[in-house]
Amino acid sequence: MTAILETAGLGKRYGRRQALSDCTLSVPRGRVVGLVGPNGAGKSTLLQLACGLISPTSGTVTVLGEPPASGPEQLAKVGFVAQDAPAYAALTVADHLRLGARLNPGWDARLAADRIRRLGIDPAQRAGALSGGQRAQLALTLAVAKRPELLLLDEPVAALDPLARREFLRGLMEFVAEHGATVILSSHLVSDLERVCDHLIALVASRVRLAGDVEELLTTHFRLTTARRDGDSLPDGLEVVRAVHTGRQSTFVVRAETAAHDPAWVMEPLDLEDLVLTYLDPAAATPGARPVPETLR
Amino acid sequence: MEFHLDTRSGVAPYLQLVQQVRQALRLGLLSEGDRLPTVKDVAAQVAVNPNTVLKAYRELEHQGLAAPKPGVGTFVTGTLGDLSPAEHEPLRRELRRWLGRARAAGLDEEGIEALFRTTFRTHIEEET
Amino acid sequence: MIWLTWRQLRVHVLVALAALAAIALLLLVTGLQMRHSYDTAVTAVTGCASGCAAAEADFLSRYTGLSHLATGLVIAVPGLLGVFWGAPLIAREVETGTHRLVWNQSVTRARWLAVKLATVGLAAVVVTGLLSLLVTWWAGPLDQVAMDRFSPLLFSARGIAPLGYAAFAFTVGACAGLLIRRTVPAMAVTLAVFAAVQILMPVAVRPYLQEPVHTDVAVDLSQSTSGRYTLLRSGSGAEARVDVQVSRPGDWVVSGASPVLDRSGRDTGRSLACGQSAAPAGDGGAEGCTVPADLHTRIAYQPADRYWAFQWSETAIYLALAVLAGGFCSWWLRRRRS
Repeated sequence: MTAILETAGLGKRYGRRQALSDCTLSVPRGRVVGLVGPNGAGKSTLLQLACGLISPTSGTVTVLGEPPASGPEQLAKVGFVAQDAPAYAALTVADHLRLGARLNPGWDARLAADRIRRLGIDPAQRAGALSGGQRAQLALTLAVAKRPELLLLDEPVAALDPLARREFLRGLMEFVAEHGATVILSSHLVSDLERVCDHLIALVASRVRLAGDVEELLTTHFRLTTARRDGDSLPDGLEVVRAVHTGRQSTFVVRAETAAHDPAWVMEPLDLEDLVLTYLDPAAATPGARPVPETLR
Repeated sequence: MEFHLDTRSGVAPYLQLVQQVRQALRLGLLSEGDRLPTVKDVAAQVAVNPNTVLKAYRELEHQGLAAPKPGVGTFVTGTLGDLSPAEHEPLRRELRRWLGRARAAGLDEEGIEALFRTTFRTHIEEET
Repeated sequence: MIWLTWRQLRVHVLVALAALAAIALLLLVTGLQMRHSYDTAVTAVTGCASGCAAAEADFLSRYTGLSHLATGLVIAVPGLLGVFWGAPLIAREVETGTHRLVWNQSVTRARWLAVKLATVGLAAVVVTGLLSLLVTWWAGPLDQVAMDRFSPLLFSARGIAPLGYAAFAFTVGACAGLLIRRTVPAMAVTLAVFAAVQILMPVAVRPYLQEPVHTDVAVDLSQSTSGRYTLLRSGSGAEARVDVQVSRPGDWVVSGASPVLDRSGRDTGRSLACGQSAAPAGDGGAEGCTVPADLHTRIAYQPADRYWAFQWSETAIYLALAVLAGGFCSWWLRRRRS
């Protein structure tokens, strides 16, 4: 499986603030990638580097083997919906579609018109008068109708109500099913990501904490509850990601190839949300825990 | 056929889809020869990753319940050879006896449930 | 890309054209009236034996207000276009975030910028050009009578120079918007930069575009009110002196106030002042002081026939500055400092 997005030692600095550091990633083609992390962890920075809106201060980033935004052909391959789904307030929805048609040689006019019609958006309406959900849908329509191979979405559903959010994800999944594009979307709503993502990247404090296929992550992470004991005393093959000790009890989140059953503990699978929260928690970097490899194979 | 997903259930999304097809078969909502919704339709309807739907359909094929017809869709090919209520009875009696023994051994309700669940899960894992 | 630029600009251009049409109507009506009165006045002027100056002054004074308005308009419009078209061109996109939309279409940023600068810039130049053309036509008779179109203010408000100003002001605005990324501060900076250049140009650059012609002009103190020259007093007491400012119809005297010289070329400013202070009310009284006769001064000027050469040079300079500014925008954008 070839990588669609590859970064090596990628870093971006704004003045004295390091927004992204030493990011080395390889995103396989055909996935829907969830990019999670607290605010300011570098999610937007990574996405904007990937679409070429900003340039790195260190390291390299390539999309489909080329530097981002290196030319019209490269731009045509990547769709991007920026945070808050910007649109020209004075232009109508139809104007936006015309804009897309004029500026993109691969424009799929039927796809765009169908989407707008099915969403019940009036093409004569000005973009400034659309609701947040409608504007997000318009931005998504613009991004998908250029038929990109890689679609980057920066917090696309953050500002939407639950109904609009579900609508948005439905449209997105329909596009993925029909055209097989790779999608990277950032969000802090893990429950949404669980439905739509099959690959996960977690950024914490400008660094990659975790990256891998969701299924692999879920089958290799467990919650282990036992009488109070030290993490080091667990057998080999159980790698402690996070340890919480109370009076008599220790709760570990461990990574292991398979569940190890022992009468001395209860070992149960983690759901994606708990798994993500474990890695996002700064306390996860417990002493004794080995650094998490960036890709789990 | 309508699918839905419960992301809080802790059951993998693809398994939920598989279970819903099996449920529909069991309830007679689906029968042999019916066409399952396309991957695109399910993805758009449930807002779920199409790969998840594909995986669920593959699992159904693996279970012998569905088969793809290239260019047409995925069709239901099997029925669930589930036991009739009458055949459930001896199993239920056995389980009741076991529950009684567990109580007598001093396990409370939650203890019984936890023991059942871990044993059940280990069993499933060993089977697959 | 051109379509999008036009779609965004449409309203602005229509407003500008509507305003231009209204102004054109006003200038057309008054311009034809003026030509009529000029025809009657000009016979009086050309054929006049006496009172010519009065006839001229009367003709000019009739259109003073409108003339100031028209001149002011041509001077202001390039700056306004720089402020209202140039500065928001990029700043507004960045402010509303739409640059992140448009930069992710299949059009490179370099092309996006080039088309935007070229299209909107051209519109700004055309609007200004039409206005300048109108005003230049309208003011033709006035300029012919007053013979002052080479003066710094009128030079900037006639002919083709305003086209260069418009191109320059517009690109400066675009650059300011790109660098500052906020519309209102970019507007202020645009206005400041453009005004500074417009003040600097006639003072520090335009007089030296060609080597001025130097000539001696006789100064007859008894005729200082003739309009050909003005005496300028400065200082007081022992420091007091008198210089002379010469004006030549049609030419542009660039030397400013120059000392009054006697036959041997000596500066007589001090003794002139002495003579004037002895007779404060008089223009050239010489009682009590020896004021040499046969006075002259040396001036530098740009002859009237260089007018169009200067117009072309100035336009070229501003267009070159505009191209430089545009190139800078493009270079800056390629660095992707987002």
